Amino acid sequence: MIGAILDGLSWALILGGGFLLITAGLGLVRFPDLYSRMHAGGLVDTLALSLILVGLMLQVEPGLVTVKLAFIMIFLFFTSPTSTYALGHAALISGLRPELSAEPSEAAAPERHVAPSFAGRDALDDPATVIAPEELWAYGVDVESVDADAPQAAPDSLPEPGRDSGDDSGRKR
Amino acid sequence: MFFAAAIAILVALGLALVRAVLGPTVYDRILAVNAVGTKIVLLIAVIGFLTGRPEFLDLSLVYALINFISTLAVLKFFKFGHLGHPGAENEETGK
Repeated sequence: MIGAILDGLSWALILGGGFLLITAGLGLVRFPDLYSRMHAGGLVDTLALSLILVGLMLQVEPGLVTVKLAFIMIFLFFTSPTSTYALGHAALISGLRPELSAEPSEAAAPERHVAPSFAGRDALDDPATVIAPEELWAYGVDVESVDADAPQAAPDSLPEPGRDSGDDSGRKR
Repeated sequence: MFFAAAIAILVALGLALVRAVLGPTVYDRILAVNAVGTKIVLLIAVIGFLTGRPEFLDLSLVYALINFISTLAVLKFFKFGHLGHPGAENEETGK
């Protein structure tokens, strides 16, 4: 009786995990830009993985196998969000902007000071961004080249957000 | 049941591979490779159950460790352009 209940529960968990895995795969293929793809990949992967591993745990009697499965689950539960975070941070630093952001409406806002580690190279072209001269190194430019275009462009000549997410924008560094 | 789970994992693996081939930026490819690694960890565990050899879980555990380290290493490479540090210890010892 108990065995049948555990078996059914294990079935449900494993099939639910498989469904979530396929959903994450579809999101990985069909979402429009890197950050939403990361959302699909990172978020659903953690849950699907936990579901399938718990489902496998219910298939065996408690012992060493259960402990090993629990180790895999705990380890991946912590490392998968960590690597997703590192990936997003690296992509943002390299200047890859989210395609789905509300950047055009932000251009009307007054000055906006951006911490160097969270602004990409696009921030240099944005007239609304104020960058302290001692922070310019974080953008990968030398100070002279920025001072040259000190009369800044009009706000309507803003670069299209996400337009530079071309093939080699990730290889800048 | 294990067979169905293995099929689902293989389908998700194929979709992640599609993203790795399509991906416009290098970060899309890193994301896809990371997803492939996570799914392979699951696939090894499920195949171990499918063939009745739960010892495969050790392989799965080792693969999970390597996958995490390799993702961080590749990210560091694309962030800084090299894996090694110029070396503070070289300056200290003068070598």
